[in-house]
Amino acid sequence: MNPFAPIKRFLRKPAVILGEIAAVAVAGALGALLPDRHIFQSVWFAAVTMLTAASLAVVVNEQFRRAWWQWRQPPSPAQFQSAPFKTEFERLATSANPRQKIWSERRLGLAGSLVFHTGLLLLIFAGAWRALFVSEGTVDLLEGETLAPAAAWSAQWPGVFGKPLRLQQPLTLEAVSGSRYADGHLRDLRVKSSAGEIAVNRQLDFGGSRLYLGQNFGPSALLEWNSTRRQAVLLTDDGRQNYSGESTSPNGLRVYLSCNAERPSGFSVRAMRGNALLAAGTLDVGRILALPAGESLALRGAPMWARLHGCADSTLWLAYAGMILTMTGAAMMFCLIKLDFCVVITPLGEKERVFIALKPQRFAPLFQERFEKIVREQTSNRSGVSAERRQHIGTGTAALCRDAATLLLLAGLAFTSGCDRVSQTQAKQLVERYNQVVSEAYRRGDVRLIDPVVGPNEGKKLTGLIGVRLDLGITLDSQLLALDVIGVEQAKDSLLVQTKERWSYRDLKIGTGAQVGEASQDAYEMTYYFTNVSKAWLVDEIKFAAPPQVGRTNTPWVADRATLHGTTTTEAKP
Amino acid sequence: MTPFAQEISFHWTAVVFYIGGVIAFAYALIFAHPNKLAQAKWLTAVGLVPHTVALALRYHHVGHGPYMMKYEVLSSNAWIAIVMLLIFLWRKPNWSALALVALPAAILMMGFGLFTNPEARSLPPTLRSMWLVFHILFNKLAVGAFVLSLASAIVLLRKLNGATGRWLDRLPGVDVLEARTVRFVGFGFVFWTTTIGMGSIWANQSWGRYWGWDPIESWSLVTWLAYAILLHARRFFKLNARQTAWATIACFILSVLTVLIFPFIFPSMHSAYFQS
Repeated sequence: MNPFAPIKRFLRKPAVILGEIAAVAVAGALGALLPDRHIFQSVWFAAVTMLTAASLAVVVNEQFRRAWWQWRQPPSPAQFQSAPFKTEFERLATSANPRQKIWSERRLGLAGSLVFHTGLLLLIFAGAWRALFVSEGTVDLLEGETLAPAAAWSAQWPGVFGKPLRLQQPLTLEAVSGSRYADGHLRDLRVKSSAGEIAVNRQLDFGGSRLYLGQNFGPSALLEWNSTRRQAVLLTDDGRQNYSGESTSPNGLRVYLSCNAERPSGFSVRAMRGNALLAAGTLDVGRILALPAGESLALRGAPMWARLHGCADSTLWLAYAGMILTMTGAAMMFCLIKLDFCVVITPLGEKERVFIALKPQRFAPLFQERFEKIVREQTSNRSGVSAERRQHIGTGTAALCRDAATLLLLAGLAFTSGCDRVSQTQAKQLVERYNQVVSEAYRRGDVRLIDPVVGPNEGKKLTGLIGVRLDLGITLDSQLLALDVIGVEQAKDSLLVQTKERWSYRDLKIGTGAQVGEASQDAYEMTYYFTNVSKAWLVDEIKFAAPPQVGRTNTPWVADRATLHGTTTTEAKP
Repeated sequence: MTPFAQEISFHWTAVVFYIGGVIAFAYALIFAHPNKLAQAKWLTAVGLVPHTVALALRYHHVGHGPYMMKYEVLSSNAWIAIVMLLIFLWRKPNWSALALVALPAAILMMGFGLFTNPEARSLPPTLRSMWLVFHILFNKLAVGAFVLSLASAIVLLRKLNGATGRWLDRLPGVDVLEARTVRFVGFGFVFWTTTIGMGSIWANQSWGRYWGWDPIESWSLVTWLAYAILLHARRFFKLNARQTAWATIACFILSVLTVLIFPFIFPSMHSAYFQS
């Protein structure tokens, strides 16, 4: 027995996984709320992160095995017994041989969760490595100054087991330059160094480290107190090119320096002891300012300074790989839903039985329309499965592109949504054609006539209605008196048409043609739901938008309403 | 008329159209005039024209995208949410009821932005990065998807509570609504993941670290984890439709806090660009 099996079972328990995610979330929230962020360096946070990584490793391992098995194992007919969408019907035989076609679309969706969790695992590993072994540091360099390889960084944040940051070669800062907007705000900043240029958002790989430039820079004042003590004062910006800094003499005299240019020839100086202003004036480069109590201040130079940030993270590529995998995996999980299809055709003499099933990997209820479309295609398909297979390969790719386009290309689509639409006149023609065909089917009692204009839902309903009349020995003679289209709404593959209609009906005895019962003149408000199948608009469903106004008072025939396939007022509308 | 006055005029014109759109949607759905739905959609779509012009003028005026001030950030978020709503309704006309929630939410967002300081601010050097553009774009897409998930969750709860009406009847059944809600959440999750990823790359480029536990970074991660909990809990523990809807609403509130409230409260590298 594998001694690690109980540990693995524990690590993949849903409650444990959810607990880990929740713990990291709580740590994140506390870290964001509390003023110091020591929580992220605490032992318990490290433990939670390790536990999460362990769970991720177990999950990734299992998902890899499962995805590999599923990828290699095509779905079998038995698996479709549990498919959320399946139907069976008979049609005229198209071949004497039994046929079976099982195929999948968007199989890459199988790997979505695996890729996503693998990315997370890499990210955690890269982050942990950085926290443990990587050192970071910052240094403020003046123009002309050289950063020695060892111990030259003014501030360092070594990882727990990290060595101090050091460059392999010395680096000299040669020049700092920036550009500003008209309103004085900083637009761009770059420095020229002995190893090349570094700019904000443009790092320099140098000496085994990466060097970054932030936005901290300005003029510096190289001061000399009383001809003995030298000091470099870094003046900082208030955001609008007003720089200021201060220095303290060996005797406690404070001097405030300011300027409003990046390369000043001198600084405004205010010398203070406590709150008392003792002297004020301008100090130019190379000049000496005499101060009270016999002190003096000389300005030996005013080079620019800039703050560099250094880091030697050898796992940065791993972190980036993790990010890419996480983003890709997430997109695969929700945009690529694997679909398994099954079409089995069994010959039955002059007819054949068709079994169709669709099994989506996730979000099953959203694929109802897709399933209905396949059924419609099979219902009207006389040439077997191959044509349908071809079509689905196409629609799989098309659906993928459609999803991506819908999510990303937003603006243009909103305005072009009105293009290529069915006009009111075309909608009216569609409704007229449907009514003409269906009226003829009722008149002749021939249900096959409706095939070119109806989808499976409506076709099933009409088949029942026409059949009931035939059983009773009557046919329906109908005439459309008036038709007004009052609304048209179109999506890509669906069309909704609202109409007001007036009809004249009478029932005729089959054989003699004698009228049965009274004739009727009715008025309806109808909603037609069309679906586009192979560039043809088929009626998928019809609903009354308002209660029908029926002229006759007595139905000339009686039928069990339960057999009428849910049609609410079968006696009123063909 | 000054460029700013033009911007404001176009913005308020858009608001008027959007309000008209909401009224038209309400009239069509609540009072059962489905033939008016197309007009409601067009009214809303027409509102996008002055809104787009206003954002374009803003871009021209300040020289950068809507990254800096609440005024421009919220307006562009609303724009994305409305565009996503219209695209979805174009694909799924029967889901028009979502507009009754999503459109007012977008108007609220836009109106809130219009009452904040509209001062134009120049883009600092650290924000002059292509990664920032992607970071912001995906963030807005995530907000749009989350707004749609909120609308879907609210409509789902209405259905579960037994509410009826023609506008609700036009929507698909509870199972489809629930699946659609989770799919919106899923798309939002994808966009949010990308937002964090792009932001990390940008942060590394600007500051030499891809993650620094900055308060807004942390809240962004917390929001992402909250949605991860929702998605995992639904899968592992078979949350029912009502639980899913409430969890979606809770996650949405957290995302709104992260995107629209926390940057203005907590001192952070992000808030330096928003707190004015």
